[in-house]
Amino acid sequence: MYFCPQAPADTEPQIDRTSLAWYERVSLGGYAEVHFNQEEGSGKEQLDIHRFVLYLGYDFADWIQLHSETEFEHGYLKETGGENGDGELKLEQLYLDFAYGEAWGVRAGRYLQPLGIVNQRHEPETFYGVERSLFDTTVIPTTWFADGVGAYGAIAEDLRWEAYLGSSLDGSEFSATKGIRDGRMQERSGLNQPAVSGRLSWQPSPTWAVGVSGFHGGLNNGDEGTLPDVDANLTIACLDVEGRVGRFEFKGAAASEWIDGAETLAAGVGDRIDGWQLQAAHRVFPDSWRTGVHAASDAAFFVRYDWVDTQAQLADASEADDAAKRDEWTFGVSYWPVPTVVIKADYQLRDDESAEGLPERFNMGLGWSF
Amino acid sequence: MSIPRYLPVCLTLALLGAGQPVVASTLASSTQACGVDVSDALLRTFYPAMTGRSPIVLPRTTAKRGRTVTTEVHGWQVVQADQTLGFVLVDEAMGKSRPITWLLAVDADLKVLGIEILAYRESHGGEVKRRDWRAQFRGAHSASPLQHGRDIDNIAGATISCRSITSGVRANLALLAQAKQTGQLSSVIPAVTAPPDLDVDEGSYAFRSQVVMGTLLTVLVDDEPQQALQASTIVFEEVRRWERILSERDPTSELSQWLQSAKGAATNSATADLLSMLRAARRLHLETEGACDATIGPLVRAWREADARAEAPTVQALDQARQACGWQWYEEDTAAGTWRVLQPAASLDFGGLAKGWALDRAAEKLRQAGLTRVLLDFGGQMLALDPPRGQAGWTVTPASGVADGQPFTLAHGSVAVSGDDERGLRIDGQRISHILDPRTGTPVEPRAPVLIWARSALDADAWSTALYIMGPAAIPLLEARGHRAQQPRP
Repeated sequence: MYFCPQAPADTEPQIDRTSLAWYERVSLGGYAEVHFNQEEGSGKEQLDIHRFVLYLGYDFADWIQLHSETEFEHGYLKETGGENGDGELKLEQLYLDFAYGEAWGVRAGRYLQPLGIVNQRHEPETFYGVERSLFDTTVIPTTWFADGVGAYGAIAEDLRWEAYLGSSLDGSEFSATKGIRDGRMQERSGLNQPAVSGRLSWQPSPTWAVGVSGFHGGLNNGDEGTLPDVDANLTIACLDVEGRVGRFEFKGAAASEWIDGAETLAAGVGDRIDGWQLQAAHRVFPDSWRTGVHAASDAAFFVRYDWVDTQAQLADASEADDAAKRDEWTFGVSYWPVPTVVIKADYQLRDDESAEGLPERFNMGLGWSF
Repeated sequence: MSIPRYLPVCLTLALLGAGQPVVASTLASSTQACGVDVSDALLRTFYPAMTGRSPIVLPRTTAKRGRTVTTEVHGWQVVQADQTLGFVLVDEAMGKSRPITWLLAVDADLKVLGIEILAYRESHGGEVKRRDWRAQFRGAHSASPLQHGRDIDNIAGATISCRSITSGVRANLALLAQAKQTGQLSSVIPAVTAPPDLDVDEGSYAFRSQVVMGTLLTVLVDDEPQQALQASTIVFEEVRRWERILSERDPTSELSQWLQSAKGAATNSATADLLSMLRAARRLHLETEGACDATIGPLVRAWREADARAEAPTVQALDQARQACGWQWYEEDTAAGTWRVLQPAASLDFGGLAKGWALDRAAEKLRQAGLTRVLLDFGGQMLALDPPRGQAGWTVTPASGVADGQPFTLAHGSVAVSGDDERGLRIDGQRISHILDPRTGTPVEPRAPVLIWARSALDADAWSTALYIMGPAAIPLLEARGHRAQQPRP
């Protein structure tokens, strides 16, 4: 019908984010973790400004957004290489999201591998324990990023997916006890043999989530070129579950990694790597204390068990390493004075199959995000 | 369920009459840029009132670093039959880095009826849109603790958004309670509410609504939630696509650019989409003997400009505008495949056709996707594809005074209502109707609502306009084309 005056599609003010001032399009954030670690027996102890991460975002348009995270590890950096301390400065994430549809978008740049829970969600207040767990450092080597393109979306309200094609790992850096961890490429990743990865998350209710994720990629990638001796590929399957019942929280994750062609890699690299973890926590902060400045405070006890075997399958038994099979019990507490600041403490009983085993460890941490 | 048949006029009135464009922009920010996605039937009852006016502006004071900061929260009182049903507030909460526009609806006792996420702008944390998460707030009031992570479940991965919305609900409930105590809520002007012309029985079907082309579009699907989501997404994307193609305001829209280039010289730049729309509009102009005319752009503009000055357009201005209308200015050379527009002042207004056209195109997309147990309700104009399982059709009930007021079933076709009620406009103190007669250039006298049936939504849309303009003279014309009309029972 001819409306007089004109229909509102014309009279309503248009929202156009590109006309916003630069400071309205920029968003800043970040997180940090300060740790104290003490090993029993050896008595080794350290105070470590483990991570300081700055988030910078920018809206080019309502549907094109930049996300970036720049990480500074251990708070000190000198010249190059590990000889002057193991501090690192790196871009952990740098990608553009193109929100093409209501329910999907395209992502391009440096993204986080969508494997497990902690790799993508690792602000200190979101996980238990001062240090990331054995599972989340060995089997899923967090923080694991790659460079490439992908897409994300929702099939239904409770079903989300993401899928990527991008850089893989450098197989020549795999090892018998650290598994794939050192294969992560930090700069100018070779794209000789790229990798696909993806994740499907199902949240049947607001408090329960189940995720399956996977990875498949070739390992013949050097920093800038190819590795003549390496002829192998890696497949990862990972399942994770988290949930809450009243004040109890549960988390579990399991993953297997198959390395096809492990014999072309370093001695002792397993044909299969397995790992799993289970965690339970209890939020204990009484409601009656939540007044005044403590209105948003919370506290919890937790216990977690991690088990990892980087040589779950090994072609040559003579290369077996006693330190490949490890487990870790972590008992600890988290206290959030406000939801985005956390103070943590835990005690870890660690062991492997070697005669001397692994030292027990006490950790304290202070973390925040903003 | 209520359908804001006159929503465009209501909103226009709100903009012009109430003179509060700033207030309107609160809603516009969600409707235009991101699409209000109202998934709750109850809130849709509130929707006509929300778009009508925004009479509630509540100052919310928060302490920040020793300073007090006051922000204005805009809201609506929802009145039906002189009874306050409740209140709606639209507000923004902060996500990780971008604002989330959300809505709180409470009943007359200020108990939460529901919350809606109107616009979510981040690629992470969108889980706050979950219906089961939002449902936790139902029944809450200002004395409810509403502690995030305790009374209100957190969603892992969407913590910041969940926390932010939760504290927003708490703050706005307190604000409403305070406003009620100080008597601010009793003195507000009742919002405009219009009874719907046509109402479809929602039954237990899945549905989703968004505001597109300034009108509430509801997609009703008799299928699993996943298929319903897919179907509604297809519809919203297609209708929005047409909204962009046909936008006269946007100089970069396909329509604007084509018109610009066709005024210079013969051009073949029209896309297949635009060509099909142009030809359909020209055909309907012929069929309706000039009553439905998309070339009326210059006249609409003349009236709009006059309206802005609150006076009638001058005879001279109207004459000039009328001369720039008409399909004679639009030359199609079918042999060369080009168009030329000979009149520099010509402009097209698909206001009378765009909704019907977009509905038909969306229906086409649904058929391609194999999703056909769907009814589309575009501000009271309905287009039904296949009927729901085990039914002869979708049950539609006209308001009293529309046709015979009896419910009927609809499948494989479209219905629209042509008519008017008291919400006209005033110029020079005289009440005028809001529909222009392209043949005379002046507004048409209000007419009683008539129900139109047609196979396609485009025909229903065009003929409802034609019938309104021509009156009963249009009935034999439309019946000759296989459509039907039903006048109100005397």
